[in-house]
Amino acid sequence: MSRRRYAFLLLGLGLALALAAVFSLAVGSTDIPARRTLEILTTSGPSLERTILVDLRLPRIFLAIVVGAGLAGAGTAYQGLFLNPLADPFVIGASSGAALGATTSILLNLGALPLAAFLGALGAVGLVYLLGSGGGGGSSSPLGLLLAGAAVSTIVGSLVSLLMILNDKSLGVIFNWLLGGLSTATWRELGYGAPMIGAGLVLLGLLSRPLDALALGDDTASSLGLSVVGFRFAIVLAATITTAAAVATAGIIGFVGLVAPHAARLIVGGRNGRLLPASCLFGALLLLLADDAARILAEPREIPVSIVTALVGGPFFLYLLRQRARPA
Amino acid sequence: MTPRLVAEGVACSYGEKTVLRDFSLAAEPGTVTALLGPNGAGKSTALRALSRLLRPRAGTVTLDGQDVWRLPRRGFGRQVAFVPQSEAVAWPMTVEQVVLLGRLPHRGWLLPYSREDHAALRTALRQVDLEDFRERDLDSLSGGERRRALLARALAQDARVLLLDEPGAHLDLRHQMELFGLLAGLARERRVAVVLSLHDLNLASLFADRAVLLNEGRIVAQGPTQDVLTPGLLLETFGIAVETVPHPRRGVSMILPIPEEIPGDPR
Amino acid sequence: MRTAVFLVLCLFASPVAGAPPKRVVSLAPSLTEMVFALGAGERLVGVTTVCNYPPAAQRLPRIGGMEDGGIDLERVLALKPDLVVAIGEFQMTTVEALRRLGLRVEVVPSQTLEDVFTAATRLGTLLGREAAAKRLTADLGTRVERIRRMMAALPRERRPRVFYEVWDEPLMTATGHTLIGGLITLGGGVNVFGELPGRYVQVSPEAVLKRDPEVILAPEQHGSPVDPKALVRRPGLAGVKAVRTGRILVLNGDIVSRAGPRIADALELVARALHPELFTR
Repeated sequence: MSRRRYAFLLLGLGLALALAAVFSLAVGSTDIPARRTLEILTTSGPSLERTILVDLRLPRIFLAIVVGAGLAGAGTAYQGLFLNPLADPFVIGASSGAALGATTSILLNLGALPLAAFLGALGAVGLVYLLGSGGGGGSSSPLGLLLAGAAVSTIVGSLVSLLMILNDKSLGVIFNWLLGGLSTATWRELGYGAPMIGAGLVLLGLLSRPLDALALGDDTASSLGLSVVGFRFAIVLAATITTAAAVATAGIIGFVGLVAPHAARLIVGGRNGRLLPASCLFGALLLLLADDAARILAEPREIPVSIVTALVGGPFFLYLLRQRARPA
Repeated sequence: MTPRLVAEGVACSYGEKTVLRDFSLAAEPGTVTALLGPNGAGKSTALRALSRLLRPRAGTVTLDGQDVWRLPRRGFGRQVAFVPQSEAVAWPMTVEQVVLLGRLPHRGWLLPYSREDHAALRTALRQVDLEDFRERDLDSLSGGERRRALLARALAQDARVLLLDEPGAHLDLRHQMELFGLLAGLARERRVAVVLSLHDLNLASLFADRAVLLNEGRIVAQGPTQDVLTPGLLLETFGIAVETVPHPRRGVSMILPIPEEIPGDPR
Repeated sequence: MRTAVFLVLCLFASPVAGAPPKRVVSLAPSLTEMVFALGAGERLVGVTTVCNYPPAAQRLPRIGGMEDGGIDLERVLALKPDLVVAIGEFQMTTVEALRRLGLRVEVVPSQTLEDVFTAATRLGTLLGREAAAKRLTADLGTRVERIRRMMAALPRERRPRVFYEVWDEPLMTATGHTLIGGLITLGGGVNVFGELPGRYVQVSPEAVLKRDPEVILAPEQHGSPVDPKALVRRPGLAGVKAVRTGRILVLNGDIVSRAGPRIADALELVARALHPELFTR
């Protein structure tokens, strides 16, 4: 794909995202006519409508964009790192760790739920990294990480379930949090999440070329002068910070981190320097539209956004399957 | 100036099992050295030890006298290139992207590729006759074409020492001739040191200046190719009886294996 | 301008006796019932989708469900309430978000029998209906006390063993730490799973069989209505005394699970179910 075409693609995605954001401003149970929206936003004067637009809808839109981009970016990095098309941001334990952190905070009434979730996610991935590095003389092979990730996720996940059942007073709270959602998003959540997700994504962007080299195998990357252990760690760190921040602010939202990289890869190819930005834009668009759907489809109740993303993700994989089956 | 890559008394093991012992080799500038031997003889292991991928349990590998494990990876990568037998490419990547990665040791992992890098890319593609394949996805290429792309990456690396693991495998005759011709030409004209592992003894005879016979992790014989490829040594290494005849044009020994007698077979 | 006025009111609402709230949103059915019971029902402008009592509540605008993620913040805002009452628990994220948006949210716990009385008093104060609250708590207190005294005199042998079936698949029951668990004890019964830790726990049919309850109670709501005949046909439960004697009773699920003004009704219902002989009048 030539440079010009790529630039056009990014521009197109950016435009689509902007349009979706504007459209999303109109989504909500309160009817605010589109024409008045601009007027309300620009001319001052506090009003109910302004509060709804500025304090509820706007931060929610931005959070959906940021979290969608973050999950897509982390998913791209993990798929590249593990050479596994089924890798998603939660494959090495971030989600179960965040759940444990959140559960602990709820049970012990510690408050600061996002922080607890964030630390829990980092802790779990750290544990996975330690365990996964056990074999191979200190180097963390992708397979080792995946296996350790599966083990830790399962064990920590069971721990969370156990805690939930033993203390069923908090069961509802934890369950709700796990389902994920942007419905109570305010500027505060955005303030927590955006800087960390932004930092993680920038870091991943810088690490694009090492990610490419690592995708060709440890031997190749090493012979090209890269420290395999060092760069793998850096990529896992950047992707985990992004994922942890996303989960801490919006709960566990599946499929975005899995589907967006695939969609982008179909168009852009596998080089991470190009794939990452495209994937992030796709992810942002996907989550924003999914959130809109979650709000519109079952008024006044909201469908948890994870269910919508799953409804999109499932058929998408069927489509991918068909693409592969077709002779090249 | 081509640096000298030297292995001395190298021993390597995977876990408890020692797969290579007492391996010594000097990759002479301007020569093509062939590592020969049956499967599991230790050829790949020796190459990996030479290319700083596998740490020897004993012995040293030095580049111009310096222990390669003390050298920074990037610096080593600028001088020595390793072409693996195959590479799993999980994601669609174009030939251009894969070959450009050969510039990593020079450009580093952060800075964008420069004009110089793109020039090296073009040269390398031309040398392996893949110029038209520049935008193609790697996994849409045939096995042989893919092998040439990997070689192009090593060439783009501008390394003075080339280590190749079975570069001729899966190539058709014409491409085999071209590839080995290219390697021999690089050795001759640019004083590149080439070390490669090989199954085809006749290719070794035609293109390699020096040969190393390996069996069960030990060097059986080492020296000028024509001195090594003798029936006695080959019987000892491969357990196969052979006869050698001189090549009608080149004069080098062509190895003719003698199959076992099959009762009732008129031949 | 209005937001500023609201904010000022919020700041001064508690210490200074300003005008009582005129627009109230309730985030829980027990609180909705309480507000109506205090005679302030006409001040409610928004309730949850499960607020179904009294019938007048069903005509009120809905703001969503009861839990975080199910409550539509925009609707709450759009109703311009000057007071939002919540029960906390799994609503805290919503509560905090509403507070950040400048609304006044009062968390009124609503889990135990005692909570009913504290909630009545607290809501009475918040809504300026103290006198109504006093009357309500007195009335409820008298009725509860009557039942309590009636049952306190009963020796243990006359207290039937009770199994409360919250759900059938998986088989779930309520322990003594729940509202219904407390009602069973007050109502003169012995909850066979009363001493288990937790609140709503899963149990095996064998455990139920072993404890041989004499009465089985089940709530009428909760998805598909529990059918007493289906209970009887369940393998494993067939040998239980309650099944043999046919003492299986279905109760109104709402009133036995809401710590609201109908709690005395709930207690009387349970007591009658367990001791019909004491209520022949």
